[in-house]
Amino acid sequence: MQGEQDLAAFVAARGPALLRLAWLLTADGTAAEDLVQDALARVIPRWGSIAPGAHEAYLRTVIRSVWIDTWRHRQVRAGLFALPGSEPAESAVDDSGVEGTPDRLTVGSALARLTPRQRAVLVLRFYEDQTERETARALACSVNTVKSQTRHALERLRILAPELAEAFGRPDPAAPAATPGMTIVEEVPR
Amino acid sequence: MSIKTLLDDAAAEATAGLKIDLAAAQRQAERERARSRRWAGVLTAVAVAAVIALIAVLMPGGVFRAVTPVPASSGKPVGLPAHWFAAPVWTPPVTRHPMAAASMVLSAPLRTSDRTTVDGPVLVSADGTGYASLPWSAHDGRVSLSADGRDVAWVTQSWLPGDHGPARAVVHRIQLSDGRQRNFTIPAGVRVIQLLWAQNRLYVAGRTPGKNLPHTWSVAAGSDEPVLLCRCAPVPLGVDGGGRLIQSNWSPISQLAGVPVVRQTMPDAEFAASGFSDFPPADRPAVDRIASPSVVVDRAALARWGSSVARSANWSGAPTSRSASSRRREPRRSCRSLRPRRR
Repeated sequence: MQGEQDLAAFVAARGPALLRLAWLLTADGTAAEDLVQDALARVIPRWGSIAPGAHEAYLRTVIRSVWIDTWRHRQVRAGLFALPGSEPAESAVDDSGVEGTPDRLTVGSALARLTPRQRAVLVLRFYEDQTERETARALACSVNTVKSQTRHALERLRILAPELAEAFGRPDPAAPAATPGMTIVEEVPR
Repeated sequence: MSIKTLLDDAAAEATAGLKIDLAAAQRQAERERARSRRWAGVLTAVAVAAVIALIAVLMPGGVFRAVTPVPASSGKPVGLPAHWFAAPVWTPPVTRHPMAAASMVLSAPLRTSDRTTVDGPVLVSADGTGYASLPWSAHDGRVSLSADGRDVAWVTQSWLPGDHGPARAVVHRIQLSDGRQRNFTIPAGVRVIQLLWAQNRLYVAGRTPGKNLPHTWSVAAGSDEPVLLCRCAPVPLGVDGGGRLIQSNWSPISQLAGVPVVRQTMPDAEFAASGFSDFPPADRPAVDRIASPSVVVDRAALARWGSSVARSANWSGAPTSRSASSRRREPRRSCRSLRPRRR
């Protein structure tokens, strides 16, 4: 009973923060709610055994894990059941919005246009303050993949939200300029 | 403005109207828990069934292949030996090529692998790979192997011309580990009937000429002097498949070399042999139908005698020694009985 009260108090206090993390990963409100709910359903059975003060960190880790698992599961299912060419590859996300660099795109809609992996890399690196090595371990990929994904994600955000380009950093002058309609090639994780 | 702040602000704005349904999460957790319990039960049942199946398969004989053991019918041959031993073309004498211990004695004449014959018994080493012959002559017989397989003894009997009985008997014994041969002579005219090993002591049973009185001598290990033990003879002796020392004698003795003998009348077994079989099938005593009553030496006496008799049970009345095979051979039928009768 005490545990349920603690849980309710924790959700009331830290729920919004968890929802923000979930939303950044999913870029969708409903999906964020479902993600947090799934993570809570996994944590509730062992809520009492978690060290005091570590509940939020534990829950954030579970949220990330659930999201990564779900995303990978969908990837596998898409690979298994989709007919060739019926669904665009992850790297071939529709870039029609890139044309003319619309100013109307906010950060939220810009995030939604990133691939799940790019979004996950971005959130883990800049929102969860994880190192490249930790991010690579969480995503089960190499550090080089994390680096390239981070570069691609920031590049894409600069294009999708040019008014926020300052925040996302200047593009590398040596790198080829992103042209409208360009396809960002994603590295295949090992 | 940092990326983190930018992302946090955007997320805060996007999740402003969202809320977490804790009750739904708790219901979902309960469902997950129930499903885990159900799967755990199923997996436990499957694991138990697999273990039971594995044990059943690995059981000696297998539970599905187990059959109720049925004793062999009495009075019938039990079949071929489990293993045939064929001596090599050249079998060295044990005096030149000693062996640590022998497991059995193959009877002579023995056909070798190239269809020649070996004159004399052949010893098979304890591991079944080595063969060695005995220095054999035409008048030799009654080979006896000690219980531990380290000593062997046999008798040379020279006969008087005209069937007037034996002239003299010489007992030979060889310690197999060094191939050293010792000989000693039994008093003249005695017909040696049986050699028995018991605790590395050799017993020689025979009958005197003329009155045909039984005598038993004992020869200690390392000695060449036979000592008369008693004016009796524990012959013929045999061992049944259960390891019991049995004796059939018209005048059973109550004591032999200090070993008490328990007299017991054996049930009449359906054994078609005249006299004992060397190694009758298990659990079936070999009894001479003619000889009655029979005598069984109790287990204590057997322990004292050791299992030497089982090894050296070549006491048969046949003039030559018999092989110590573990199974009896099927008796040969004469060719005449197979021919169709003339009308």
